[in-house]
Amino acid sequence: MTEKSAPTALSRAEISADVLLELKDLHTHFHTDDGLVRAVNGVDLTLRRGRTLGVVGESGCGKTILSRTVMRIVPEPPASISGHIFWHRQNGEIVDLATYPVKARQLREVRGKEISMIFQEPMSSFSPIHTIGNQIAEALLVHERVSKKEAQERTIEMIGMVGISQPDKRFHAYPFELSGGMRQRAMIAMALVCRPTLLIADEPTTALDVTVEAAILKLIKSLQAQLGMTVMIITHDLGVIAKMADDVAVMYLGKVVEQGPVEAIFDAPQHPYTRALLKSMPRLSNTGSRLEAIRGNVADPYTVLPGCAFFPRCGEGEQDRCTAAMPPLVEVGDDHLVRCVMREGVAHGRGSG
Amino acid sequence: MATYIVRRVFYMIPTLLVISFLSFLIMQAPPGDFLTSYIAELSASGEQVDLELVESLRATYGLDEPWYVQYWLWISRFVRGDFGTSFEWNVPVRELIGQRLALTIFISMLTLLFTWIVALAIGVYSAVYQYSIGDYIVTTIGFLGLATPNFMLALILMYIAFQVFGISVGGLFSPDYTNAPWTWGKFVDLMKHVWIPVIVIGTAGTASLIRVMRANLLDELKKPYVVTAQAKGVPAWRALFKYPFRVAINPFLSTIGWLLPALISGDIIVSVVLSLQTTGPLYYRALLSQDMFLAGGLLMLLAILTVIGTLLSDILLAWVDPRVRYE
Repeated sequence: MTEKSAPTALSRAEISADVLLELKDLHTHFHTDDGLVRAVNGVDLTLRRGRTLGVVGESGCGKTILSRTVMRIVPEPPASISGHIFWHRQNGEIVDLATYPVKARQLREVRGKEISMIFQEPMSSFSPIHTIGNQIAEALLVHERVSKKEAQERTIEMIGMVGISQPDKRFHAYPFELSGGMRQRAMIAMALVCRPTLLIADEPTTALDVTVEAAILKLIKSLQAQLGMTVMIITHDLGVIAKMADDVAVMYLGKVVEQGPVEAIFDAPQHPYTRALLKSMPRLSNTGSRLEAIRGNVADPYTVLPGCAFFPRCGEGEQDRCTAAMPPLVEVGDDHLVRCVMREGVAHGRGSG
Repeated sequence: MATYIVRRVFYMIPTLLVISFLSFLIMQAPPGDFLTSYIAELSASGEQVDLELVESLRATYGLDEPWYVQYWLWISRFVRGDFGTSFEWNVPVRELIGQRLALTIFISMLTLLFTWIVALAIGVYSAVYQYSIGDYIVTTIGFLGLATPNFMLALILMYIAFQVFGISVGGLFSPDYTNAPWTWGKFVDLMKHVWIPVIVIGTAGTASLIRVMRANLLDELKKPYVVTAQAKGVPAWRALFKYPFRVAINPFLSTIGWLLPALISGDIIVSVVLSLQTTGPLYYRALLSQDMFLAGGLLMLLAILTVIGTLLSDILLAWVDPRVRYE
């Protein structure tokens, strides 16, 4: 606790051993020519060690920006970040990643070493003119004092671990020589070669076909068990959430509108948005009927209306109550929180940002 | 890769043959030949024309033969290294070109170096700090450089050098050194003079390459692989030069092919204005006076350099970009 940025404001109880990452009132705003975009607008989340948090929402809800804010790889400017990102480092220190200047050495030490990311587009996320071996080994060379030879050996071992055959040959392959699934495996190898504590997977299977998707998800799960990682998976696909997540956070327009254990979210969804998402998910059981879509589109991010952002698309609200003020997160079950005034009656209120 | 290069070198032979044929045809296109204009000139000034000499020249070079015989005579000597004799200078073409070639290549290489160093540095700066004050300043200077005709810049710089620094900057040497053998002093003298043509010839190229570098790098900086490098914890400068810079530099490599011939023919006007003893003005004169063997020799040299330059570009591109290699 000698670090200046240590969270003195946190009570002892909150710094429990199994907490890995805590986001407190996190905001990422973009100053654009068209106005201010509040991509992440007051998010509170806690990630526990060894668990998998699924972040779900439609496109444009701020999921990707949220994950990139955690690593501080959103471009600043135009972005500006406020709030707290308490990260429990591998050496036991607790640091607030939101306080460092964007080029700080401390941030670089965490990126790729303690927190890693898998991106949506494995093709364009690799440099086209370097071998995948070179790009994977680079993470080791940047973070650990290893010789090139050792880095190469560990890289080849990692390429083998993600299920790519003939890893010593693939080390010298260029991204365009691999199939989509293989590229995503190489991407996973690149993210995990330094054995990070947290893996952020940003829509890792969106660009892949369904059979490959299943294999990649399975791979992430088995590596998580093997390496004891915590995983944060970003997706718009509730099927992926159902397969992967222990906890779920549903995001709408930069805010978490509902969060809780995966069973609670699927069995007893409280927020109208969560329920609408679940209804729009294809299931094998209702092959006959038409799939329900959520009415309207994600609202224009430039204008912020008072009250609940989902109200214009919600069928359940009441004009006066819903548009009066942004509803607080209220607890409706064990670790199950929802941001909806219609649920306040059933809950014993626990206000939050 | 080796077979690729061998195959490319092999393809150069028919290409050059076709070029030599076409350039010979073009040289033959204007009516008359050097001797007719030579005779006309002599008679105009009232001098006696030695018809015997003219006839022997005609016979030696087969000027009365059909064009395809002339072509054969010329090209068969050319491949053996005999480029013929310049009518106007009465010196073998090889010697004439050789004298000027070294100096031309020296100036051009310096210009190339100047252009690339300045253009790459400024291009990278103005891409990384897009829309900063510095970006606006170098962009403005770049556009000015692009828009100013080279000979104009040459005249301005000559004037400034003469008025402010008191040095005469016509030519590449001070009068004392012009015909002196090569010494350290002559080299220093050359370096004192050479910066003006380097700046003059380099400015327009620099300005356009700054724009190219800036635009390319801006495109590449938006690519997801840059974010990937950042997410890996790679320091910013290393992420910049290892990834987007390497991709953005491709157009530079592919223009080497055009730069080589420009070394010989380039910037004739500037060379004339600055009275540089390079091959540019020589070429220009040869074309005007229908000095066909000199013009033909220079033209073939240009063609060979173009073909070699293109080959070099392709090899360099294949070397830095694996995607080119495998196509």
